[in-house]
Amino acid sequence: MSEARTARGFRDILPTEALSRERVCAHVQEVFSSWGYVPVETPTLELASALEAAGPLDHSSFKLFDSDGELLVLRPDVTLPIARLVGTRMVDYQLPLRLRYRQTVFREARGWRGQARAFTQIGVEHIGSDAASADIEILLMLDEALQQSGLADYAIAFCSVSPLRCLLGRCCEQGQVGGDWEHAVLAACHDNDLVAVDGLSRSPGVEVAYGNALRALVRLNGGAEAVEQARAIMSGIGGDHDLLLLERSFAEVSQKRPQTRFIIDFSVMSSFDYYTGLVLAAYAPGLGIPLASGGRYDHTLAQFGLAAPAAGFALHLERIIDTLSQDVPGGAVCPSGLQQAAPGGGG
Amino acid sequence: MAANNIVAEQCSSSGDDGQGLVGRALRIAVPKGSLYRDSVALLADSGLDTSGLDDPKRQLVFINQGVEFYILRPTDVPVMCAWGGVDCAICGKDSLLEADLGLVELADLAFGACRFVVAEPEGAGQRVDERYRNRGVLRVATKYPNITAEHYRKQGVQIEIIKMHGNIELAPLVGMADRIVDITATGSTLRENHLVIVDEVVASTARFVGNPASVRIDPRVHALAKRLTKSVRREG
Repeated sequence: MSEARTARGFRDILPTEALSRERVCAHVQEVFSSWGYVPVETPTLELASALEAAGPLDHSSFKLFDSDGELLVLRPDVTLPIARLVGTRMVDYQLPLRLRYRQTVFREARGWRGQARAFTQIGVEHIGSDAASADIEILLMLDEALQQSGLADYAIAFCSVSPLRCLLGRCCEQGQVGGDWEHAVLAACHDNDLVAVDGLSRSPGVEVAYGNALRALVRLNGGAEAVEQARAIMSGIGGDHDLLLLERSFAEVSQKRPQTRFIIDFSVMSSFDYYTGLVLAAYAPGLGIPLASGGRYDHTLAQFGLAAPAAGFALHLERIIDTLSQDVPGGAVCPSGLQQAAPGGGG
Repeated sequence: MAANNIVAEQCSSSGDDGQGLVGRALRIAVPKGSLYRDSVALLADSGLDTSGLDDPKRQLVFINQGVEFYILRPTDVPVMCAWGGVDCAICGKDSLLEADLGLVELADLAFGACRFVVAEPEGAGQRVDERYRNRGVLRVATKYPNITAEHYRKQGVQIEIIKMHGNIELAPLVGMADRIVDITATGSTLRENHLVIVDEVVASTARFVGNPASVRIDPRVHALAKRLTKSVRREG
């Protein structure tokens, strides 16, 4: 009996949960479909060399050799396989392409932390347009999908990576720092390590004004006023056009969806470094990890043979289901006995 | 203690309802052990109601005005915060590095300074080098296998790690390991056990961290980070 089990981080799904997954999926796919998105599917296993066209693979992917001696990878995300698919088999299609998918992704994770190693992603890729309207379409569709999945309480945080990249470029042009320093700052941003960004901003060779701007920019969080603050921080540095786009996107989505909480947050940097503009993440209170994430990746498709801008996002089905069932750690309520037993507490 | 605590202040300024978006008090993890006293003092100094924390006895949870404190072992802080069990936490950089869970590090709190070092028995240098030449691999005892593996990977030195939970100094003394990787504040434990530092790995101090969701959707977290940074500057 003891061997009749599933591998760590993989599990079976019984009818009650399977039904609610099916329901959420149907609602979300219906939203995508109503925006004109059509479904695609990619293989579970990919040639590692094919995905590596876009850069080295994350060490968290599962890999194996097949009997031909080919190194295969269980898809660690869906964006790269779709970029490969579009770049090789859909080059004759009229742009923009609007694609949607529901696929499992696999990521290795260390043990003893309760982390899954298989995730269901429901997502979209909007290929062939870098217009502001495409970013807005992505944001509105994400909001609609979250709402239709039945979630009552969520927030969508987004920003653009362009102002940060512009600022880092200026630091390198004007100061005594180079590509290694820029790489270190981006790595610290990806790691969410703002303390390391602070340290790097004070490196010898970084102009003091730019260092100050860097520390302030990565901490910007708020509503429309955050874009104003970003403009003040970036004054004389650049990035005006990107901030204008961000401001317009924020104004338009806020106006069209007054009930939804949209947040500008310049620390929303994904662990994927292929994003070139918009970066977004949706969160639910009490769940430490995002419900959905995505962004704009204008240079990735070129690596697969089609020079076209693109943007997209994926919803994490399991996290949505957990949130709907209020099965999230921060949602837990302390037993009332505990509250009364706090002699020093209670204010 | 400030009468108007920071949580209430932040929420009134952001037009919130006093409970933030999450609709409940801000949850903060506080590490027990060597970082505990300084953590509590700093939280109090930043305006939070820390009643009861000065003498927690065996109580693990304190529910005060607008804020809840959860007391746990420093090495368990990252995973609890990453899951969203608490919004934010005070945690040593050592535990953050070892856990590597993508928490947002918002402020360096400056206290709890220590260094990760590589140490070996006094006078063992030649013997260790020889063993490495002969075996092609060093045996290293540590409480921090991930930090140790990363350090030696960067150096291009192959090692076998022996994970221990305390008194790491013993491992090389009984010949179980060639070297240790451990944290030290003053180096006195190492000296008393006749170990010498042969390499520096990384420096650590206490950090204020939040999980990505709370940092981005709950303005109270950034506000607290600012207050803590100010308190640190005042004391520094």
